[in-house]
Amino acid sequence: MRTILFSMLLAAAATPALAAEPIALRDMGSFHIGGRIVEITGKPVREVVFTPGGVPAKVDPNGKYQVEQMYVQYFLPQNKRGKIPLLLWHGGGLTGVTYETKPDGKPGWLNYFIRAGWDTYISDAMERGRSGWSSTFKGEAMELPFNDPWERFRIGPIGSWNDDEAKRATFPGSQFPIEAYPQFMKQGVPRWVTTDNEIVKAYIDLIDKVCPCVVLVHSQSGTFGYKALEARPDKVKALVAVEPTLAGAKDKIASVKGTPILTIIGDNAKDHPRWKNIRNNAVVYSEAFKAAGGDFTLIDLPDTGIKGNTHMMMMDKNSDQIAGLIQRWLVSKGLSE
Amino acid sequence: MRRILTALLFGALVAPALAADDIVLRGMGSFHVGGRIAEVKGKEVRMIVRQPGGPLTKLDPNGKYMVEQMYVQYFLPKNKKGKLPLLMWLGGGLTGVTYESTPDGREGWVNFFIRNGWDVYNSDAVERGRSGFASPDVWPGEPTFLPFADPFERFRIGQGEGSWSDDPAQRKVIPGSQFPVEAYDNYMRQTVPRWLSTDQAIIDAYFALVDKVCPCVLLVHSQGGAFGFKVAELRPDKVKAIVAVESATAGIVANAPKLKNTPVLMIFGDNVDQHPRWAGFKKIDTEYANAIKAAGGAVDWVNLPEIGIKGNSHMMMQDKNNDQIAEVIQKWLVTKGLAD
Repeated sequence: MRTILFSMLLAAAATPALAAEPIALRDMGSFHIGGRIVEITGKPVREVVFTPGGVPAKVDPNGKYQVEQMYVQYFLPQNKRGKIPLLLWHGGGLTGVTYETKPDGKPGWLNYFIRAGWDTYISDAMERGRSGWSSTFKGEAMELPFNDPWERFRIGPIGSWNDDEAKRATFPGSQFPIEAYPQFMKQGVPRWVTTDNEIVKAYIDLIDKVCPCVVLVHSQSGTFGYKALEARPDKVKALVAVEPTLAGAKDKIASVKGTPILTIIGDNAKDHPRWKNIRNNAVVYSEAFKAAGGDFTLIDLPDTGIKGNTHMMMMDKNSDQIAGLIQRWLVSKGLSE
Repeated sequence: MRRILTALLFGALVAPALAADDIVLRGMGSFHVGGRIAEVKGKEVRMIVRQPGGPLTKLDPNGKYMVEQMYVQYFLPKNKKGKLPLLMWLGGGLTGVTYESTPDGREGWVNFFIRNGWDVYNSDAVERGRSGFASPDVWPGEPTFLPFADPFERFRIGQGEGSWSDDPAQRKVIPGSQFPVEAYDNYMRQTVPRWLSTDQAIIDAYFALVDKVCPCVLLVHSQGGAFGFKVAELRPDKVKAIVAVESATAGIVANAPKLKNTPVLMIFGDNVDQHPRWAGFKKIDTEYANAIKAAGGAVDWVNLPEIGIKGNSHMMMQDKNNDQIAEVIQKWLVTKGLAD
């Protein structure tokens, strides 16, 4: 059964529509959802020099502010084949740009799934990108150093970074478009580490607005995807988790096991000091999910012959191949024609 | 097998026909332009609490960072009628969302101009939205946050200072206002923090965009006007027309003659002259326009109420009659030979 399933999922990528064909949309647009109005009181009025060398100005931070909303952009294809909307949620320190044009300029998963006929809703998590952020967040924003993802996202092995581009090593056969690494780093945005609850709240607001739906999550948003599923098991009809950094809560499996889950893990993860633990968590959760009678498919890409994929597999050179695998899984679950 | 084949063929045959109001694109995507790698050195390694109640952990802010890049999203209609790309630049404290769906959920100017056959490039200025922002170790100065009531009074939705009330029923909206006041909270969800020390970085990224995708037409709004004219002055061969929607200051008057071959359309909404702040911007823009004209350039000036279009706020691309104003712009672009 497992072999049949894999061979079905791995069948030669049937591109949903030729890239040369136009994208016809019934509609496209955007909205913000969620958030609240917060009142700041009792803060001192300060003298602030806004522009270096400028005249100090009095700033009164007290007052009411809109905070914690989330930005969502949607594309509704004319030839709709997905039976419910597909929501794309990105990972930490990034925005919805993750799924747009890839750093090397080639079309990403957003265009792939629109062409496959999905009503696609792509969002920036609360605090990131077009969602905006506020002075009310606790703690400091974290900035991602230029070198950090190279090793952490398994483009190269640990110790492979070098400031000199010519001396940077990759994993053998890496699928990441390394010439476009600086372009990838332009997609990074600051990230707080104190805002998880507000992020999840806005995602649940989105689910309440546009679902039933399929949720596709990556990395940090794996955590959010599972929390959203646990809060709205009747509305999340399938969960596609691409290298989720955390799994769901084992004591909540009974209430979410009606939702089929696909987890995909790339290459060089099994023995990686960081990723092996993340992968193990996914494996343990998947076993418990299946033992409870749930439908869970966990795919290690290299075991199926797809090699060299990094944590950012939606930007890797063979991203269409992986999207095709996801698409066929969704079709096999009856969620798309 | 036969059944599958039949179903496939049948599927192809019954694929729904294009509807008249479909948006048909030959391409869509996004990219970041500009930016630089900044090195943070000599900063103290700090101990910070990452999660409330969590332990103190070490944060070393030193290292290299990618900063000051700009996000651009583009839509290329199949039925292309605009002769050049149309670049949309937003105002202060906002993002490209300005031109997307309106706060009350109607279509915005991105869709309007795509439907009219323009290759549209909608960007988030450096520091805003999907462009990201740099840390206090890279950017001196603090960001400002827009209070909830501020634009209501400042953007000519309400009747000036004192028109705001926390109770929506008590808010004094300008009579005949076209702003969708019932969706004011959605408008405020579009706002993002704004620095006051980053103008040069913002302009540098706009240069990078112009150098990548132009010759083009610029459509600028509010603070984006100040950036648009300054960029155009240094790239007059690449900026073939400027549509300035309530430009909040313009370019450098001494440089205005450089735009003598770049047609300009200046648009102002209603209730401008009664509002000291906007009357001030209008005066600055008038002086700049006069300097272009004195050098032999072409500036068309539209005060919307004078052509019978009343009630428009500073956010006219989101007002209820936003299509009507887009039509004014579209017609002007056609008269300048920039669209079929």
